[in-house]
Amino acid sequence: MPIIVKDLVYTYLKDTPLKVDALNGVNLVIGDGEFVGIIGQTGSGKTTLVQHFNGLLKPTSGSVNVNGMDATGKNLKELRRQVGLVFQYPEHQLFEETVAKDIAFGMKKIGVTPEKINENIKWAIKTVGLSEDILDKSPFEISGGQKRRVAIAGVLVMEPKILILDEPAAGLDPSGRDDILANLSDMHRNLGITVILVSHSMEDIAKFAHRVIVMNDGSVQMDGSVREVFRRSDELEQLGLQPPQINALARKLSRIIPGFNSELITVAEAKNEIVKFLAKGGEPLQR
Amino acid sequence: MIGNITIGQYYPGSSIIHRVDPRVKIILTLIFMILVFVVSSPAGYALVTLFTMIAVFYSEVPIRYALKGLKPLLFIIIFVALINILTVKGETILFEYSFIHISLEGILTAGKMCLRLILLVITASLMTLTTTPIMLTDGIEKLLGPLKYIRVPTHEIAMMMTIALRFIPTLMDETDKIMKAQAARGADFDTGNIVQKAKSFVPVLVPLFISAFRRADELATAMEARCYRGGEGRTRMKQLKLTKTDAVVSGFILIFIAAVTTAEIIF
Amino acid sequence: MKEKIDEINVIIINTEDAAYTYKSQRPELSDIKAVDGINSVFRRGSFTAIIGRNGSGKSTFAKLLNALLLPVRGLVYVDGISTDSEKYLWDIRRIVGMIFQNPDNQIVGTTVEEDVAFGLENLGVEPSEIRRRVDAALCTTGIKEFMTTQPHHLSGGQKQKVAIAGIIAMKPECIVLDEATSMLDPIGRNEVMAVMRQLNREENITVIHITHHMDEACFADRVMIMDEGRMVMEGTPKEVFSQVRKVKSLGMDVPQVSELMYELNLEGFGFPEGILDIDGAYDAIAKRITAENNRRETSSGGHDADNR
Repeated sequence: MPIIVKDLVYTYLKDTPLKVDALNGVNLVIGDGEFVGIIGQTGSGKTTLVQHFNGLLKPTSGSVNVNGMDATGKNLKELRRQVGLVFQYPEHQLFEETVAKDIAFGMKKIGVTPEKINENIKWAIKTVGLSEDILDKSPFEISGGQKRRVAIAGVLVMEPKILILDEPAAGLDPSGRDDILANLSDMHRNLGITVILVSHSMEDIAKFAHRVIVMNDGSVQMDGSVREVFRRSDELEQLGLQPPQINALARKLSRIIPGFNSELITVAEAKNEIVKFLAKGGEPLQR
Repeated sequence: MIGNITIGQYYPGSSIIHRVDPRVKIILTLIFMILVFVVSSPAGYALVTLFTMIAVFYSEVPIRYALKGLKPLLFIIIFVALINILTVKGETILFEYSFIHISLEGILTAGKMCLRLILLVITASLMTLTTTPIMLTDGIEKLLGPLKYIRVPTHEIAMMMTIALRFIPTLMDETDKIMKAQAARGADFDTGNIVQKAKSFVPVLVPLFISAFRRADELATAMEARCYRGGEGRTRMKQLKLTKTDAVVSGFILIFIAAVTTAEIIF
Repeated sequence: MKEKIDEINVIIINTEDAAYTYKSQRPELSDIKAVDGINSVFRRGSFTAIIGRNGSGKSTFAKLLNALLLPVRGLVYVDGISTDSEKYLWDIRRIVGMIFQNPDNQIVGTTVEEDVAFGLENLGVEPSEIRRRVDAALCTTGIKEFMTTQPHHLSGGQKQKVAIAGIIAMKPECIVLDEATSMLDPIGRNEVMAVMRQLNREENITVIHITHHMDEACFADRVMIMDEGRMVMEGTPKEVFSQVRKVKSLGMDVPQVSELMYELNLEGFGFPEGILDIDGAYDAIAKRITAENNRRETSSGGHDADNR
């Protein structure tokens, strides 16, 4: 069952002179097992939007329905179990004495049996790519990258059907960033869950997401496959979003070289395309 | 999850009240508050009420904002009123039932007490609404200045107040964020008895304290990097200077005090 | 002798075998060698990017540069003065300004202008002079309109510009940005980078920029890579980023086009080394493909003629 958003409007500080329309009329359907990237500038409403998916925010008007549950209703326990939301810098929410206890926090709240808790902790810590020895350590003595993974495990352990991550790679170094995103991609593939990745980075979204939703000024500006969205790169640039270098290069080349594919996104794709043009008639020019 | 709390909320403007030197404003506010406490005659009450209204008018602060400070105190005001109505023994009994006696005098006393509280809150709000937090701390630092000689760390007190004011909004946002994040993984802040509720805040308070300590540590480093070394030899960009406005406002208040005193004596 | 003096004058910071060790809190854990013997020279007016994985010692190195930390071994000189000379401590910190990672945790003032004035107030500058310099710094960084705004109403990029203005007002000769862009969105990052490049070009301020973003490192005159407390690579962005494998083995990335050119060269196409931007890659590839097309046309044309 999908996420269905209808005419969603959300106003911060309603009825005060400081009121801000964070979302004005969003309509969306996100199907099961999708890997969706949500991109947009700060203040475009992307974080506000995803906080409606597990009932943290209640719509000012409109409706949000997730897996047949009304996300605007009172009973949110089941909804929040099924929709895992990992906040930006999630490591800042760790608080327990040990990693294991911290990961177990959510499950204890909903009364899962101790055996099942143990089993799930082990599974979750492995799924985020850490070893079991970390479970007995204090969450405050492990490295920054490990903390982030532990925090993600704390959400994953609830076995959500939908996993939402807000800038999961923020502040990490390039290899840390690639690791965590590749890890997410594995989870999506192996667990068959819906993954929603909120990010500023077009490169990351291009690499992993199948569908891109571009938010601007509280509404959905574009919604389509990665290629469809990058086809409108001029508009993206106007929204302050930089398409990946490779895509910009491919578009530039396609303008003067007939038949050159303008919709390339990754380095490997670009390499293949260029090799095709250079080596078509035989050997490359020089060695 | 946390409403907009108005601590030290400043209402931008350039009215005559905004322009009064913070030191003068603090002293005058204190004098006025004492006055509100000592008046007892109806004429005295009328005058201090009138004066508060004039002050609000000249501050150009919307009345709504000036009254906002009353909201959290509503309960206390009502409580004070009830206590007075029920306990003050008067001669003109309006209502009597077993041990309950409600007299005209009781109602009048209650009215006076409430009026006092309301005026005090409005005056205090008006001061914070028309003075930027930094001016307020500057004013307090200067007024406490003489205490330096008896080794009271006045500069440090003022610096702490400034930093607290600076970080209140940041920590409020942070609390909101942590509460949401913990709610997203199953925390429940609304149900259960008082012990359960208090316990449910552990997952919020621990990260909040850790974060506050981290911020404090980073801020200390940043301040050191910007050559901060305590109050000695330090200058200020904005020097407090008394102006004609301060003289005029002070003069007005002195005349007003004289008027209230006269009214008290005559009536 | 003259040459020696000139050499000293063009150098703003140099380190000689500088090392720093964090004492471990518990006996069972060993001390952490965060910086392990670094020799480096920063010239006046240069723009250096320092990259390296989390925990490679970049931030510790940065803190050695303005005496926030003193080396446990070796020496750090700012303008020829060793950072351990207490007498010049405040001069050193004025000369080398520092911008930190979290924009929120370095703003002291409750309004923008108050914060920009903070450093000058600490230095005991005359009030009228503070006012003048604060106004000038707000103009240089383009945040004059936010003069009386409270910091928590600003975006991350704007907050970092406030921090930069606070440093500029102190008339520094060098600014160290310690991952100052890592918590910002792309727009904020661009704003901060634009201001820093302008300060570097127009005011000749030396910039040392610690970052995780390779596109920012490409703007620098020089890139240094740190790993396990040491400087392991150093050179122009072209020199560094053309060594794709080595850079990646250090946990860093290279710009996408550099990687593309590298991959193409592995196939034996022999493109020039050190292409970092889209325009460079475009020129090289377009030229080659056009030449290839022309060659094919002429050769196939020649073939046709033979047939006739």
